[in-house]
Amino acid sequence: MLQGTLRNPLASPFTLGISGGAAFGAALAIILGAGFSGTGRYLVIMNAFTFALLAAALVYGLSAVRGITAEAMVLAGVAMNFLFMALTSLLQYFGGAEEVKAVVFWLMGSLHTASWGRLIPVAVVSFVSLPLLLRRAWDLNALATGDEAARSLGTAVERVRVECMLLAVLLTASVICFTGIIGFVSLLAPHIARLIVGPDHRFLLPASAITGALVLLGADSLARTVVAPIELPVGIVTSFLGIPLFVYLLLRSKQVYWRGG
Amino acid sequence: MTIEVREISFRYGERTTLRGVSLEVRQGEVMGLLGPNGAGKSTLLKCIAGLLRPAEGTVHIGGREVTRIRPLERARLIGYVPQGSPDGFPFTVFETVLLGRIPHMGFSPGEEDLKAAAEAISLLELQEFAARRITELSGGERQRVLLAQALARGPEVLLLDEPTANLDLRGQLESLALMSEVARERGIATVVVLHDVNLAARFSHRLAILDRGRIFAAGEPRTVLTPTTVREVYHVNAVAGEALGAHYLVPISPA
Repeated sequence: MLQGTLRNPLASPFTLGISGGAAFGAALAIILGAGFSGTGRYLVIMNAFTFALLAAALVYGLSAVRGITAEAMVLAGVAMNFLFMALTSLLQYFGGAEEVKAVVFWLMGSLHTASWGRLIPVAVVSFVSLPLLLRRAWDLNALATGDEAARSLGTAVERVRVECMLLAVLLTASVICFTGIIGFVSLLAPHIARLIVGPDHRFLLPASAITGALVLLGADSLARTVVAPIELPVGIVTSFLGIPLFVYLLLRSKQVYWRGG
Repeated sequence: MTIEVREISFRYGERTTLRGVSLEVRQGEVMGLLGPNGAGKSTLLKCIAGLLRPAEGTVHIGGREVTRIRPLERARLIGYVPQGSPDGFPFTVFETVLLGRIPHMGFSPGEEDLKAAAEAISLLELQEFAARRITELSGGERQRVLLAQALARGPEVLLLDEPTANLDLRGQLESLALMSEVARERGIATVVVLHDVNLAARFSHRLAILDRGRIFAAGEPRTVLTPTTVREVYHVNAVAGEALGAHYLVPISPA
């Protein structure tokens, strides 16, 4: 979805600064002593969520200054991500050993704290946002032909872009505030899905969601078994698996399957 | 429907790009828009399309002010093809043309939408490419796909920004002949931005020459495309002539 709105094959929550914001939020809560136990855990979750939204708001604010073009949003997002990464490092530098360990663990991302209870808010957000996104499927298709052309097809380009970004932020934030940063799924899944169902967002959006879930499940199973009984953080596995697969997909497709953005 | 542009001015920040431009294009008429780079041709086209709001003056389409028409309805009335070719995800040719039906359809394209897309594709003789991805086509073929997309909307007004930019000699003639034929048959008021003055003279009923945001001259090709006008606007020496019933102009040297 983000790749569609921003017409950029590398767009993902990382490029929009959402992940960076969440990381900083979680780190802040942990370093300030919330820890992983008791009520503190919820503080970490809340803080990650809040800062993810804050990062997105900053990206939006920055890009709105010069009109909400795809390029402006990506650049602002990358800048925000670096800012929050630097802030997170700064926190770690000043934090105590135990806390830093907790932060690092969070940043690696893991499903081991997942439970049915925690799934409920994520599921609610997903079920609400998918129909809202699908409502915009044709607008996203129109955007593939360029902003001007989409506008002449009746798409309110800025509104669609903001709406989709809001939904993306909500979705991402609601997931990673529970799990920590799990990289590359969001980048990889849409590319796999696009190879299978093509670029029509009516099919691509649900297909990406399913692909993403499968990739994550696969990665998590691997993470739990590869060096059993030790359970690796799944974030490491997705990156290890994701990057070579991603490069392979790019090199394999002989057709020009992307033209500049 | 008639396009009526009344005294419009437009500014990009400090720079004024259009000053008091007026023109009228009747149903079924093709108006060729000429002028040197930066004269305001694309800006004028976007104002007519309702994508830019002029600082002063109004644009009426079929008697209604264009910026007051709701976007979806406007999209049904106006087929606008911007300059350049689309980037982004690789839709097939058929899908790209079908995108032109967005203003007509709900979540799924209906029988009528598929028919309109198929018709536009055969009109532009794109059948053999229909299942290919647009990223695999040449610039000229892609240009024809965009024209098909605009026609698939079933527009009353057609606005084309340099539709021949990437086409070879034959492609230019074919596309423009098709454009004027469709405009006449379906009664579409058409404005086309062109760089080639001879193509413009050949396929337009009337020409308008823009110079630094103003209409320098407008009217029938043979009255507009004179060596004097061309020297004033383009700073080029040229000779004009008549062959096979068509007015032509041969540029000789920079003036």
